[in-house]
Amino acid sequence: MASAIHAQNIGKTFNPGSKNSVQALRDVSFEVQQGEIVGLIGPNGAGKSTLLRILLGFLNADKGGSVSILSQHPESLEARRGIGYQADTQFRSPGVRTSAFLELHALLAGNADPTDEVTAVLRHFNLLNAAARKLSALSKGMRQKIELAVAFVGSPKVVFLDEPTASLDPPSVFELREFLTQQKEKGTTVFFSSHNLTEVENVCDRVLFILDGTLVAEHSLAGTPPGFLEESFRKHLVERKPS
Amino acid sequence: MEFRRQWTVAAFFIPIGLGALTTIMLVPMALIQPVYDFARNAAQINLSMVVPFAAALFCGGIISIDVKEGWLRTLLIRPITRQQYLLIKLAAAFSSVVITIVVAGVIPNIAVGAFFAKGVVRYEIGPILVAHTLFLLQALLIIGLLVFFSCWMPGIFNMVLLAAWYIAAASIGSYLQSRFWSSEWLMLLRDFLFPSGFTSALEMILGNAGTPTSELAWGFAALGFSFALAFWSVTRIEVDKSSE
Repeated sequence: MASAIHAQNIGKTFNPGSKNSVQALRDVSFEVQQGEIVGLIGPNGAGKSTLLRILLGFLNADKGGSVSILSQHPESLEARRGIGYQADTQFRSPGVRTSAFLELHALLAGNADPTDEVTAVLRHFNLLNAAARKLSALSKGMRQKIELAVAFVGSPKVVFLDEPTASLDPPSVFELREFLTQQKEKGTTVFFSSHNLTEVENVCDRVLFILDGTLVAEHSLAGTPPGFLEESFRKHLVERKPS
Repeated sequence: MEFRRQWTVAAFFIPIGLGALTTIMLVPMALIQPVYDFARNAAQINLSMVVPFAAALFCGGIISIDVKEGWLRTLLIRPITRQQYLLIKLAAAFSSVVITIVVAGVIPNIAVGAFFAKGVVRYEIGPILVAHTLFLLQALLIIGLLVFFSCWMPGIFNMVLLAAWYIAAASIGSYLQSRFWSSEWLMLLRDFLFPSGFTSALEMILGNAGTPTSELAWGFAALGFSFALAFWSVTRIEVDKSSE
């Protein structure tokens, strides 16, 4: 199976050389195969969002590290054609309507006539009633669903989700779970960070544990008993963490 | 959509407010001047006020706001290059500045000339076209500089920086002109205080002081340099500077 995401020796230090220097990532290496759903879990401040942003080319890694998405540099147009992304911080801008926002994304993703695709995505995420509303007028949970819808517009091959269930109510979490299962059947690769162990356990093939910027463990979730992930979480991330 | 994002409710009041201000400035001129020269008055109000104000207000945070709001991230995840993104931004910003020049510069000038001028009103199409072309070039130059600033600093800071630069260049320029007018190299230095090639060219044209070849060359060189800085900066910035 071909590699969808390849990360080699990724490090990231913010404000290097100053007294406020923070080493957010240390020598992170891993690979995600096409069609896999991989979860990245770790406590707050572990480096999950930083790692995602480096994988997407939004932040530069320290020298010596390399990232490729679909065998391309993440900022190359070839890679961008195959990427979807849901950010943990929601896009804020007054005046932009939901449907226009999604149509823009579909157009940029290469769909010259995006109306049908946008309607389908809105229907899937139960957002049809929000189509004509401004993004700034929507609730946090609805904007989270818009960000999720944006990530899947244009049928990307690799989707990055940053805390996808953070602001969702339980029915929306169930819908997302079902949607991700469908995406897996279509061969879409999904890489997501989450605090929600149940979600990771329900949808992921594999899980990576990150603590203080270091990948400390990796487990396949195939055939594992219920509660396995919580036990692993305690073992790798809670018991190791200095008090 | 870029254009629409610029025109927030607050932004609608910018050209109207500036228009009111230019009208207040033009009315006394119309009452005093024996010849109300449309091109000359346009040069006075546009170059000193409308162009820098409009550019600063629409472009002060042209890139930094996009980074802060997550708009840059939401666009660059798609297959568009940073250069394409910048061209779209420049087109939207330039359109907004052009609209502001029309609403706050052209319309008040025509209206004041028609209703308040006591003397002869002069509308000469040649100087008017040249003047407005040079306003637009000066606007592009300032937009380019603001894009450069905006890649590294927040919007409000850029507006203050531009205003301070403008005022400092004008004050130092006047001082040098009055005290050291005979010093060739200090006069040359004065030209470098603020990229004012297009402004100088317009002054020469309206004053029938010959062909402003070197002034135009200086203006275009500064415009090219400001755009080069803008494009270089946009390729250098990190889309998401925040840590987790």
